Amino acid sequence: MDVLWDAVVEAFRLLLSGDGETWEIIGRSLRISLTATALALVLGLPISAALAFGRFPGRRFALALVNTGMGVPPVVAGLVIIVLLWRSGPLGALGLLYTQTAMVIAQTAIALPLVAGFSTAALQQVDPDFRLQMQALGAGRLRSLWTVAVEARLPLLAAGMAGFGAVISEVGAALMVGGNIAGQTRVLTTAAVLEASKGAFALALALGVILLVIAFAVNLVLTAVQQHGRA
Amino acid sequence: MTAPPALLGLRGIAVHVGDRAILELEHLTIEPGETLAILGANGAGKSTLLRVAGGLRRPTRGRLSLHGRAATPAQLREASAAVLQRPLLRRGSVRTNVETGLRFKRVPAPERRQRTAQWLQRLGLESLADQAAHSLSGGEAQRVSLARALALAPQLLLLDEPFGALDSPTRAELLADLRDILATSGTAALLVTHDRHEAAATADRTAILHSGTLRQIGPTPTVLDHPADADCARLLGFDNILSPHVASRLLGRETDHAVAVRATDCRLDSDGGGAGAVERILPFGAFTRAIVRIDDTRIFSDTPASSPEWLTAFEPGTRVDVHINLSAARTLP
Amino acid sequence: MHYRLRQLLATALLAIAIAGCGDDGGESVILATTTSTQDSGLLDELIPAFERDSGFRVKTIAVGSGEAIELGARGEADVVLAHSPAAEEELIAAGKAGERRTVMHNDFVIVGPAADPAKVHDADPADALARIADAKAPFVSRGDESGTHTFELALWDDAGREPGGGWYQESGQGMGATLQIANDKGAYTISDRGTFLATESARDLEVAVEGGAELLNVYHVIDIAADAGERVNADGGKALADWLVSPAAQDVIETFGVEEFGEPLFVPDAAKTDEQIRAAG
Repeated sequence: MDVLWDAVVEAFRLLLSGDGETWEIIGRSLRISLTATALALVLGLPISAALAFGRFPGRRFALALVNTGMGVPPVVAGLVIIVLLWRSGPLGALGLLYTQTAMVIAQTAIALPLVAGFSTAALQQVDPDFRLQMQALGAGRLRSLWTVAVEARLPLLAAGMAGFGAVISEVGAALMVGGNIAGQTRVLTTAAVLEASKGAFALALALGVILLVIAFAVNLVLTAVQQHGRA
Repeated sequence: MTAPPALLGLRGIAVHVGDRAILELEHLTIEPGETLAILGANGAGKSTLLRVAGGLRRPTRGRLSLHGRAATPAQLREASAAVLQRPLLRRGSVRTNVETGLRFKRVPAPERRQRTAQWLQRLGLESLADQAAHSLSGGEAQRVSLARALALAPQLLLLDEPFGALDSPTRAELLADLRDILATSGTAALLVTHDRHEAAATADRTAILHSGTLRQIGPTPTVLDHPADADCARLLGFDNILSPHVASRLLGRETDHAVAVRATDCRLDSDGGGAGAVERILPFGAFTRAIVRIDDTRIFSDTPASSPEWLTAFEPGTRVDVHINLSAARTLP
Repeated sequence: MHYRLRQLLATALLAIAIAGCGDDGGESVILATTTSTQDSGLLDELIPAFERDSGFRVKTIAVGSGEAIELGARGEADVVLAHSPAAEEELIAAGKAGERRTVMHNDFVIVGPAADPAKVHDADPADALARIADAKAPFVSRGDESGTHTFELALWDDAGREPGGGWYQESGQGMGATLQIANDKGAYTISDRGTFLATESARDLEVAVEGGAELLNVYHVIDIAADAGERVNADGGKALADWLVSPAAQDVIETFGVEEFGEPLFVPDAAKTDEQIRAAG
């Protein structure tokens, strides 16, 4: 039990002392995961609009696929990306393996099914005639879709928060695709794993505590935005 | 001399879902400034017709025209604005909602504010202007929906059973306001309803839709009082459709047509020979309905609220005659 | 519709580009090495010095010895720093590599609880393992095909024992974690001296067997040939290999660990052959 308390103390010490390495890792973790979440939202919204409103053969199958995608282990996603990005792979020429860009790609792939799946449900919650009424007031196809999204902004933001939560905390893909290189691709989760494998459990836990604090801060902001729209 | 083209023309329209025909309409026009009511029972295809007219639904086949020229769905949407059955308001204040269409059309802010204020006032919504739309009652919400559509100054206002879910006093109030607005604004309107009183209150012409086909169309008073067939008659509140045989007997003259007559135009009389017998008495408060059996036919007779004596005199089993107000009987072609 | 789609794609690409901003630097050299090398902290001193001198940007991928060599064989790494002689020789034999040069060595130690239930103190390494197996004393193995694990298995072979049963546990984890498990369970394990010294949580364990040529752990650097795979940075790999055996690097290796542990964790060996090292050890 001492380990837990030590971890919490160590976590705040690292945060408040302005430890350079710690804050570098925090910044990198946030940059990568927030970018991946944003990308997942940008790509996921059109996908969820198609799934929610489209009428095409295989729609339900596609939706089932998306929902299954939520459960893909990050390690598996990482492995797939590695096979694509390594030197002998189809995208090897891009030289992206062991870079932050690769980590963003992997995390976007992990967040996308989550965001798309929850967003589809969010859009479907809006009255089906709502879009028609907007069109009957002069909104074009895309504009009316956007209006539905704005109407569903509470659950849509929740979808974003779910995506962020998934990627800020995952380690499998970040480790494989980034290589956990100090000063380049090391993030909070992979650093924690490294410390744990070295036996430095208190430090590993401290990094975990820091991760929770950071994630909480981000979600606080997002929740404030979400609940503000609760007119 | 050619008449100016109609505002909206529909020709050869058919809407099929799978292999079922929901709507089949050879020809229909709406003139500028007129209010046309589409009367029909649920599932008659009225909403489908409204959506086709507003460019909100593509017909399986057929052509639509605006002012005599062929019109695309986009053009139809541009020329019209709709009030659907449920208010479907957005999150935000009443004012934000009324502005919705104006924002879609990118109307500049000063004009947008002015038009919004005008219609808020016209529909008595000023005191609610900054209130959250989701906190409104049913009637208030439909007012907002109406203001929202009217703010767009459409050439054609589409109303899909807008007052169906409201209680009678609210409905009456809104109907009156609507009639005044339509009369003064010069907007044409297509009002879909299953209530003939709404049609009577607001429409210049009325069309009757039954199972997706147009059965009858003409000036509202005429249509409402002269049903074209038995289906129309039932829709128009003619409770009794008498076969030629029964009609001949009760009217005292030979006819080989069916005859429609309202229950209120049938009076009971227990003094004569009693061609029929009272089967049931249904008190409805303001009036009492008696179901009378003559041979194989049931006839409904409505009497204004009756005294206990009347109820005893006409209790089930009593032999009665039914006297029909001849001027109110309508021969069906 | 298409306009919006293009906007979205442009935003997406911009976002990726921004995120990747942390990735610039010189030309990349991928160094595949083992977790124990990484964990010792030596590379944290050596690599930045190399990057400064050469302008290359090194990506150090720390995996198990087996995987490091496999990466080299496939051309997914440009240079390999490992301590698995058998596998390294296979790599050379397959023609995928340039040169294989000695960099440094340290030694393995057999550690165990102070009570020493199997009575292995100061015994011969192979003999010690035989006694542990016969006494069924608890033993924790790396179990992850790392260099240390491969060494351990070879030693079981020499001892003529087949490890298995309740007393033999495989952690599947790095050296630090394995030492902590051994510490908690009062078990024996084999560790490289550097990691043992550096792991605080192994404080209840003591060195039971040490010294001798059998426990030597020699590190070699192998630069990968340009034709081992597509896009191998052979120049960069050779540059790093050359640097590791150069006096600059060897000096760093010689003094690494003295401040913290009182003794150096590694002995620099550039230009010596394996026999020479064995003779000295």
